[in-house]
Amino acid sequence: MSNNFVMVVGATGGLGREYSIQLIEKGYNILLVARDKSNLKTFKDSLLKKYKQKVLTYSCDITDNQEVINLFKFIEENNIKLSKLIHIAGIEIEDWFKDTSHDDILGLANTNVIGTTNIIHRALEVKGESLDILVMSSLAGFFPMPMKAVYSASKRYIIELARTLNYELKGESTHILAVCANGMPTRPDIVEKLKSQGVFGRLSIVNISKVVRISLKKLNKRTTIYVPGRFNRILLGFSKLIPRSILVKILGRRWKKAWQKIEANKKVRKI
Amino acid sequence: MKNIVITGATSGIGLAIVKALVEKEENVIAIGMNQVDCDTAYNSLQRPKSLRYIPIDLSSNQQIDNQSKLILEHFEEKIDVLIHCAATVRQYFMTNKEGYELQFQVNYLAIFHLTRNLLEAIKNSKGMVIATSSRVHRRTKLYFDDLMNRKRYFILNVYRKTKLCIAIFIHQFNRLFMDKDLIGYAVDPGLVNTTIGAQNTTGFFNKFWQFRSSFGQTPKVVATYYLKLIYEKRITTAPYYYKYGKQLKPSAYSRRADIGKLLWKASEEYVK
Repeated sequence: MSNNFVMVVGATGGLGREYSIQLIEKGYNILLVARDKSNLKTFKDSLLKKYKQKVLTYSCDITDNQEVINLFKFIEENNIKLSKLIHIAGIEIEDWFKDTSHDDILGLANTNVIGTTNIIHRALEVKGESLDILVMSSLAGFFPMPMKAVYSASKRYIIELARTLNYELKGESTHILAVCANGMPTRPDIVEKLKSQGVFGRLSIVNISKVVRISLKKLNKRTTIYVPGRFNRILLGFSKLIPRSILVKILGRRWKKAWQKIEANKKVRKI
Repeated sequence: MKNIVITGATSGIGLAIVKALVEKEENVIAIGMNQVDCDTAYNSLQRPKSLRYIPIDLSSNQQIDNQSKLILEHFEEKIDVLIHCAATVRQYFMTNKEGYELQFQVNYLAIFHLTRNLLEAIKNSKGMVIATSSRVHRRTKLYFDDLMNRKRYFILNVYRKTKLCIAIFIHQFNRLFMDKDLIGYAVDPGLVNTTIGAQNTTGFFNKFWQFRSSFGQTPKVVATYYLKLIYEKRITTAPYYYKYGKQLKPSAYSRRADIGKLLWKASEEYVK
């Protein structure tokens, strides 16, 4: 068996598990990366019951540079060559910028921007013959989102990074896809939150099994941006007709209403 | 006095059956999803000594393994009846920590897993397994290359397939264990007035279930069908599917021996 692996960063969340399962079904070896060791073990054990491919795990906090260095040392020591990188790890906070704690804001920026960049940059050094990179951005990356200021800016960062790197790395059999999903229904509490956003929230929901399946197809087709959900694509299309200075006001007003509903359920979500 | 284990015992049909069994003063271990639900149900029954609630989150195979040991200890490896009432309806595709889809895991795989863990104890008492199926199992089949419906996830479709799995399971169970004096029954409770379709759904489905279930029977009436199977003379001829207390043939697909074998093998792989 070859030493070509797919690395899934954030492998123990709902999306991470789904990417891992659909990829191992297609015959890939998988390197599962996440923070929680016991979740990693539970998931690895269940994969090994059914599949014959290699499954390795590594516990890593991507905001810690030394841990990321150790992760890639582990990859080199085991002679692993990456054929795909699926980067899901990220944090979402829904609160006013000035009301969020300093640590939480930095944690978000560190994970979504610095940690992501760190992983992608180092992955280029251990790629196999080709490297397909899938990074979870968000529909929020297309909008200036009051109450999600740093989050939406961090997701915009990923969208532009994907576009630019696809140009820079064109001749080097490396490609990046940014998946810009709206709320992913991976847990009941997330579904509750989407419900509270009314009809818009509910229409934007797409099953994660479908999102994963189609985004893996898009990755093979060398797409740069993928927005799951017809409703979300239509929404995005319309929003491009509206000047951003007006968009931020519309979103601000909508979000204030939704915030009043979910006030009790405000929390930091580690994805 | 019988040793009876029952899942889904904190609401709906399960709770109604526990109530009836407590009145008959049987030894009951009732299983609920979490400690809070278990405590609420236990208190509502006035905390009888013959009843014990054990919380097991059936979406976690690890918890099923851990807590099975408690059950076996408590009943000293003798179980007369194992009743499966726990089920869930999920609008969106979600997985547990092992990557198993939740409706498949809770509605079917947990049944397989728990029955397997308690099998020796059931054999010791020449006991009975009762699982809750549904008429919606008809006119559907399983895709063994996609048992968890990754490609075809639609809320009712998935629920129907899990109920089909139960009918298949019961028939295969009887094929394997009837000669050891065990018996399995699938109960079709008909339309019952419970909250199953309203707990994890939104919008249209949620409202639709609340409306439709109001026409259903009360859990108290439905519980009598289960008790009939436990207390009346054991019927060991097919079909092993009961509706409103009478034998009824389930779908031909669910009675196929080859399908039974395939599903059993696939299930063993998931929980080994």
